[in-house]
Amino acid sequence: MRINLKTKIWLTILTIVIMFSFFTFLYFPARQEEYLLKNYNNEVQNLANTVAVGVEIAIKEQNFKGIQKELEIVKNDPRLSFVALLEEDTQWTEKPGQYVIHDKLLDSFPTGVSIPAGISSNGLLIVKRASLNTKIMEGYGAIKLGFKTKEIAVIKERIGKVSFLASAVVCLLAILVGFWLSRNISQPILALREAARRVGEGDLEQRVRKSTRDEIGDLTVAFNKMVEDLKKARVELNQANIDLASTNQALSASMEDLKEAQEQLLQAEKMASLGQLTAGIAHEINNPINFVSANITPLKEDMADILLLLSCYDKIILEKNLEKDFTEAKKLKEKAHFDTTVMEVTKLLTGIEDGARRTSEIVRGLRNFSRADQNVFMKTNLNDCLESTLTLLHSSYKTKVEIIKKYGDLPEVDCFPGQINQVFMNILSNAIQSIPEAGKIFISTRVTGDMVKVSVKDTGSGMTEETRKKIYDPFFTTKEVGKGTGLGLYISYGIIEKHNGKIEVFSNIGEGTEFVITIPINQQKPV
Amino acid sequence: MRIRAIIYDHLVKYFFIGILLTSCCLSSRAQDNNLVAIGNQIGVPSEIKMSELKAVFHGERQRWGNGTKVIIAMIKTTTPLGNEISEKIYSKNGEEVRGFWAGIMFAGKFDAPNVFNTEAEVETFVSQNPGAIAIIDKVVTTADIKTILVGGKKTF
Repeated sequence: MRINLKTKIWLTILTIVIMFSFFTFLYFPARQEEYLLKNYNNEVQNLANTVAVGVEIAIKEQNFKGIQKELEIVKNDPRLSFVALLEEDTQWTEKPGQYVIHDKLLDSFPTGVSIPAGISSNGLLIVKRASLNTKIMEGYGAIKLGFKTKEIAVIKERIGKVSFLASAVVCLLAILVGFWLSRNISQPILALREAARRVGEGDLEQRVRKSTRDEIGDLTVAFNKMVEDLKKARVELNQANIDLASTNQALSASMEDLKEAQEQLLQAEKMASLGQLTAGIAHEINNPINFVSANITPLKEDMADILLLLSCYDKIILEKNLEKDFTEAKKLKEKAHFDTTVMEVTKLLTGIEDGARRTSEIVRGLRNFSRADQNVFMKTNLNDCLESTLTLLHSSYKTKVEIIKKYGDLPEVDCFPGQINQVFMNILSNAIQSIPEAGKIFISTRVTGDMVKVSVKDTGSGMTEETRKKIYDPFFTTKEVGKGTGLGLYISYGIIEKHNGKIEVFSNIGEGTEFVITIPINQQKPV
Repeated sequence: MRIRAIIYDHLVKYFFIGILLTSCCLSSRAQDNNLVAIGNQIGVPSEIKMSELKAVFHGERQRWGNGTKVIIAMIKTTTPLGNEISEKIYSKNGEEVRGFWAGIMFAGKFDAPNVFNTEAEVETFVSQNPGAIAIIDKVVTTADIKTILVGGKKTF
């Protein structure tokens, strides 16, 4: 059972009031009455003794006026009930040597009141007896005084009233003290408890007003000091947390930078290796294909000459009717489907020429794409970069995508061609992959002030706003697992930033996506 | 010598016994009619009955017939005269008379009697207080005191 402080205070006060009331109402009045009765008994006994002595002397001296005077002592007392003169009557019992003394009433005051000789104290009277050491009749005399206890009852009633009044005053005072204690002890402690609760909830602005100059006041001061210290500590802790968070943030940023640098380094090394490999392959292929490209034209010319010669032979045979002489040759030609063969050879030569040209373009594209130019800006025509990239991607879009080019007359731009090619490769690859079956890709370039703008717009599936916000995040990809690293646009963004340019994207679901790359023509800041 | 001494002792003893018996006889004879009631010339009647006298001395009468307050003067009961008065007026011994008057005082029925050691004091008191009455053993008649006839006699 939990009893709060206020209840304890009131219980204490109630206990004190009850104890006080008990003592005031019951114990003290009873003791007072007992004391009064005892005193009254003593007083009456003393009076009886005094009167007895006086009467005894007066009787002995027969100074009856003296008796009157002695009696006036008690007769004028309003408490007197009676005063009686008795004669002791000794009665011998049947047992030898034993006797009993009976009092015999001689006379009494007031007259006309019957007073039993053997009357003794009762609730209304206090009766005291005093013997006279002188005979008055046949036996020795005695005095009996009867005093009324009404006075005691009156005093008792008065004490009761005073007790009630005192109890009422004490009760009132106790209530006042209770409220005072409640205000000076309970309320400050409750205020402290409430403040402590609020402080516990984090409100460190809580202060408790010092209302008393005692231990509770000291406690209040100590509490306020504690909260103040706590507040300071919290401020310091918060500052430390902020510093720590800042450090953590810086550390995280450093980690991100480190990770990015690592990724870029990895990618750069990968690209460098790929570039070297590509360059090597391109170089190795370039020589044989050059032979093919260089020889195909003379071969075609030679073939044309041969065919012209054979045509000339046919014309002469026909004009001079020499078919019989060339019957065997005619049969051989028919057997070999000479005309068809000639057409086929022509086509084959054309195909070889196209293949050689195409191979040369691919090789040139590979060489352009894999340039090892990463340390200095190089003057580069971005249209060529786009073409090289398209050449490399030709196989992936030729069956489903129509490329519509609108190249402007671009000046050469300061850039890292290999990195720019990588950007175009990422953007064009994404554009091709966003077109599921058939579509178009619009590529346009133009000069705007001292900047060059390259726009690649597809008619693909487009992307959501949520996706658009994340496309430059590292490792973010919408492709299936294993088909995309999520680093393409992330790296592209870094490359364009490195070129002091910007890359923008505009996209709507179902309407396609447009990337606009803007880079300065001339780079102010050398790398 | 021893016999003589014994005889002497017996003679002395009998002598005193004889004197005692003689005095007792004389005393009883003297008490027969030697008391006199006296009173102040003012207020006290010159003659009263014996019963009235007893009633007065028993505190049963507060005032004389003329309205004067009754004042009793007594000689102490321890004196022979007082003892005689006790016996004749109160039919009690001296101690009983003391008790009687003590009882009267307790009841407050009557003013206390004035008790004196000698007859002279009694006479003086009576002469000075109108309404005062006393009993002595001789007839006194002065300007202030008169002898009251009790039952027509001066002595009783």
